Amino acid sequence: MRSPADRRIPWERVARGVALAIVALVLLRTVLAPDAAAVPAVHVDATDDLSAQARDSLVARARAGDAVTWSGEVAAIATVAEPLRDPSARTTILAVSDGALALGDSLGAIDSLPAGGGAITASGLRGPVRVGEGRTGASAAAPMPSTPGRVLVLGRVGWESKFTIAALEEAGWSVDARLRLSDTVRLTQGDARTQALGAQAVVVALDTALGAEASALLRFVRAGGGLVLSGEAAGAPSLAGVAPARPGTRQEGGQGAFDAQEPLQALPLRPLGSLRAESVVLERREGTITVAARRVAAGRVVQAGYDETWRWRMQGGASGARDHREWWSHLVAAASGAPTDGGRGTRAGTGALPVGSLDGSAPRATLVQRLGPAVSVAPPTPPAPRALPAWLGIITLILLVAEWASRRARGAA
Amino acid sequence: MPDFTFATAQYDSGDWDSAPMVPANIIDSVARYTGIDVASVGAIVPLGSRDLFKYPLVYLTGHLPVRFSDAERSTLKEFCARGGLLFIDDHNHDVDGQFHRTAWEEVARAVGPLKDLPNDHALFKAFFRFPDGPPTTSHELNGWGDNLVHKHLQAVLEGDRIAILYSSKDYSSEWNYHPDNKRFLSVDNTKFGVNLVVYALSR
Repeated sequence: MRSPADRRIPWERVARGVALAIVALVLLRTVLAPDAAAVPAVHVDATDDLSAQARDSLVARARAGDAVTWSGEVAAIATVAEPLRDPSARTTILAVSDGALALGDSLGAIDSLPAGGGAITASGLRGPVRVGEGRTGASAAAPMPSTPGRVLVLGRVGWESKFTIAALEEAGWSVDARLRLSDTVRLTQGDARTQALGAQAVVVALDTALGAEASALLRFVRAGGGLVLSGEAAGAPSLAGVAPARPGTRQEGGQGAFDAQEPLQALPLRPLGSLRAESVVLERREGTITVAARRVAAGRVVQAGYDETWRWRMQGGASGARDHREWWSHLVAAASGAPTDGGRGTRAGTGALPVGSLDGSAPRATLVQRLGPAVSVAPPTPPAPRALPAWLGIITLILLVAEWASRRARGAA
Repeated sequence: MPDFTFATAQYDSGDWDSAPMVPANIIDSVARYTGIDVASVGAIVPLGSRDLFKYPLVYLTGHLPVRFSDAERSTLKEFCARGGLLFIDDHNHDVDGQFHRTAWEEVARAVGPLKDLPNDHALFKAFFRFPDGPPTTSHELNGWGDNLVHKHLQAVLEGDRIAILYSSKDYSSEWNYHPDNKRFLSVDNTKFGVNLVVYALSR
C-alpha cells in the first residue's frame, strides 16, 4: 500500500512539469520573438527644416543598414549662388520654388522672389545665402568673388575702341589695348609684357585687319582664352572658323530709338544667322539673334552683331553710359573662364550631388536622393515582445518550492 | 559711315564761326598723316542740342564774350560726363580779352575750373611728339594779343581723361587757312591738331 508521501509523487511531477513548461514558454518566446534591435528603424518628420548635420546623420545611418524613412512637408526649393565673372564682386543668387521665397544671409534679409523663383544679384554677402519658403529653408555657400583676368582690346583708333575700353575700365577690368592708326602704326595701352596674347583672359576684337594676329587668336581660344567678336570683327573671315554664327548684311538703327528709350534699336546691326549647332543665343532683338556664344576647345567665343555701340553711351538715355558699360562687361564676362570657388558652391546642372557632406541647397531633392521618397505615414514598427504576467512567475516559484518541499518531506533527494 | 567727323560747336552768343577754315585744315592733316577714316566735310553742331552727343570731339572758338544758355550748359556737362571732349581756343590770343574771361567763367560754371595741363601729358605724344608741351603759334611769337607765349594749355579732367581742353594760343588763327597752302610751310603747323584728334579717339 502506498504511503501518503508516495501518493504526492504524481503531484510533484505535475508541479515540476508545469514549472518547466512555463520556463520553456519563456525561453521559446525569447528565441522566437522578432529581433527588432537587429534592424533599427528610424523615421523622421522633416517638416521642421532638418539641419544639414541632421540629414548627414540620417544618411550615415541609412548607409549603415538602418531603415531610415522620412515624411513631412518639405517644399521643393533649390538655390545656388555663383559669383559674377566680372570685377564687380557681386554674386548671382538663383532660386526656384513653387511658392514665394525670402532670401537672406547672416546679416539679414536681402530680397524676395515670386512663386516660381528667379535670380537676383547682390554684393557684400556674409555667410551662407539662405532661401526660405514657409518652414523649409535652403542654403548655399556664398562664393568668393572671382578674380577676373586682363582684357586686350584689338581695334582701330576710333570711337568704338575708345568707348569700349572706357566702359571696361570703368567696370573694373584691367584693359590693355592695341589700336591700329594706320597700316604701319599701332597705338598701345598697357604694359608691353601684357600685350602678348596669353597674358589676358579675354581678347575683344573690333577690327577686321587682324593680320597675323588672327592665327594667334585662334590658338589663344583653343588653349582656353575668351574671345569677343564685335563690330566689323564679328564678320572677320579669318575668325569665321570659331565664330558662333555668320553675320548678315548691316542694318542701320532705327531713327529716334534713342529718344524712345530703346537704345539697342538705334544701333546698327548685322543679324547673326547660320547659327552653329553648338552655339547658344545670348540676346535677341525682335526675334533677330544679336549675340551668340559657343565653346571652342577649351575657350569660349562670344559674337555680337551690333556696331557703333559707342553711340549707346553718348546718345542713350540717362542710363546710357551705365547700360553700355554693363553690357560690355557682361559680354567679356561671358567669354571669360568659369570662376573657381574651390568647389564650395553648388552648380546648377552638375548632376549628382557631391558625395561628401549634404549641402542644403535643395533639401527636398537631397532627402529624396539619399533616403528615397517621403512616406505618407510612419511604417509600422515590430511590436516589442509582451512580457509574461508576473503571476506566472509567482506560480512557477510556488510550484517549484512545493515540489522541492514535498520531496524533502518524504526523504527523497 | 566715317569713324571721325570734325565738329564745330555753334553757341548762341558770340561769333562761333570765326575760323571757318580750321575744320578743313585739320581734316586734311588727319587724312594725310593717319589711317583714320575721317569725313571729308566737318559738321556744325548746336552746343545745346542732343546732336552734340553724335560728335565726341567738338571744337569751339570765337572772339566775343561767351554766355552759355542753360541748355548749352547742361548739355555740355552731360557731354563731358559721358566721355566727350570740347576743345576751346581763344581766337583773340588775349588773356585779358572778353572771350577768355567769359569762356573760363562758363566752363567753370558748367563743368569745373580749368587748370594747367602738364606739358608731359599724353596729349603731347599721342601721335607726334611735343616734348616741350603745346607748340607755339606765330601769333604768340609776333607779340599780338596779350604779347605772351603761353607755356601751358588748360584742362578740366574727368578722371585722367581730358574733358575740356582750353588754349590761349590762338590755334584758330594759326590753322585758319586753306589746306593747299601747307605746301608753303617748312613745318606743318597743324600737327598738334592731329594729336588732339588721335588723343580724343583713343583715350
